[in-house]
Amino acid sequence: MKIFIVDDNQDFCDLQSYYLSQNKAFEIECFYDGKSLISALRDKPNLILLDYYLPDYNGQDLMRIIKEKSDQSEVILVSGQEDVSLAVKLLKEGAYDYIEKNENTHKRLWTITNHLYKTFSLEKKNKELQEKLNEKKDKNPIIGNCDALLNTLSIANKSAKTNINIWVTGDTGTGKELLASYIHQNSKYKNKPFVAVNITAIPSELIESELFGHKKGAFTGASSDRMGKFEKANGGTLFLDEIAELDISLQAKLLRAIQEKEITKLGENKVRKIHFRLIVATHQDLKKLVVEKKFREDLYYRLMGVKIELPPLHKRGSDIILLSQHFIKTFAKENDMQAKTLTDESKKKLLSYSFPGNIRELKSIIDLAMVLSEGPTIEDKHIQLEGINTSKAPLINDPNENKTLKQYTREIVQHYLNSNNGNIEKVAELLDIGKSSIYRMLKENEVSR
Amino acid sequence: MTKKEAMLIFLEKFNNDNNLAEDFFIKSTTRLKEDLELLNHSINSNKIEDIKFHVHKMKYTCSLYKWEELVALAKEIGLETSNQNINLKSKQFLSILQENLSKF
Repeated sequence: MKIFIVDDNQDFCDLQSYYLSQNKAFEIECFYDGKSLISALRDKPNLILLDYYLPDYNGQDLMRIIKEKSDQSEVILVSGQEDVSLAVKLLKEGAYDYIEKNENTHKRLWTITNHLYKTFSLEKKNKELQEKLNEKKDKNPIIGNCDALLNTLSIANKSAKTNINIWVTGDTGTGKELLASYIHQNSKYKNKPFVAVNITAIPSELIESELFGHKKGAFTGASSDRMGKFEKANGGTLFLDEIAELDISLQAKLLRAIQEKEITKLGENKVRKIHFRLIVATHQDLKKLVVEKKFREDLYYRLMGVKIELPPLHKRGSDIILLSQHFIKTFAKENDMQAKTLTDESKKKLLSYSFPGNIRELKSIIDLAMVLSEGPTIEDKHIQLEGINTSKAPLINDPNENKTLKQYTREIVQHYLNSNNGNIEKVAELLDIGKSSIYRMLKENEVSR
Repeated sequence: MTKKEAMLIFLEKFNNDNNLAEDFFIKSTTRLKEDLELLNHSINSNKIEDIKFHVHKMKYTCSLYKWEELVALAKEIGLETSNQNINLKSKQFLSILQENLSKF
């Protein structure tokens, strides 16, 4: 930490310099007038101990110059004036602290500078971690260059620069959360949290507490205070996936949070101000739900902002190959393997498939192909497009029976749940569908665990 | 206060490092003598702002030597508005400081 001591009393400078140098992390420099300090401000000190009365400047004027030329520098004013009103005035103008100059000044300075050092170190570490995180996210961009995707990204980039609400739509597995994260990374909120919430993944009785937080004792089992997702996203971006699944009674509370930027924790009367960028996603037709009175009209209009639609994979043409190559590299890296290449036949096979599960399905297909292929190439025989049946029991009990597609879907999901001990994550992976789809079916008693 | 007594104060401040304490003592007394000359000059030319400035500057060093009388007098001069009183009190300050320094 770089510290400048500015005082025309050289005894003071020598003594404080001696005490502060006991901390080896401090790099100390002394100045005996304002002019020499100003010319050294280009070195951007972390802390300036500033005497109020200097031969050429008073502390107040000098502090303004410091704030102009090196706004990251904290200023501690040191003076023998014992004037409380002066201290208050300077603190209001941005001084970190005001210390009276006497023979014990060094004790107070030692405490404050070490406290500041800890704060600076934490801020530095935090910044480094944030940069690493951003680098990591930058390494995982949205892959593809088809017109449909480029058009989507163009709208996303424009929207990211503003704080307009964003509504992401698209089939399951098209990467709605990835797009939300991309928008966050390209917005002014990028150094703040990105909090993603899948409404269907949270049991209905816990959703209010999860979103808004609760105070200790708010309900049975609330053994401590808990911060909700809104509060966690404060200053950053909140992504609410499957927004249509939110209970109508909670929609009013969500409306208030979006409209007034205020939340109230469960079991608490205190209103907390919050600020966040909202991105929502749904695969449902919200307009239709408004007509059916299942979704609040006022909330619908409040959420209306920019609607960004993610194209289904089968409409992204050669992006399928780009994504496949990306998944090959990722799988190889994660499993300590050599990356493999796709033969022309395997590419043709991939390009002719409809991918109902979109990118999520493609990833599973490529992962499996990487396992099945023994050589340096992935051949068309390694591309398994039929899904993975793990059960010996018949999937459809009576194929001749007249059933709707929905009924078949229920039977398939139930079959997989039965053969996987109700493990939703595994079933979702095997069927290449979103966990949220299974939770929704469970919620509506269409299937059971 | 004798030099020995002053050295004890600085030995404590510099964690019993004799060299540092001695060095600091020599430098601070030299600076005090220089400032004393500047104060004397300001008093003779009746420059009130300069008098206040030099007294204020020396106040901290006086506190290190535990010269409470001088510290109190410096505070009074700092708050004083009458030019006549400032002149009178600063002469008193000058005289006590000269006497204290002569003991080293």
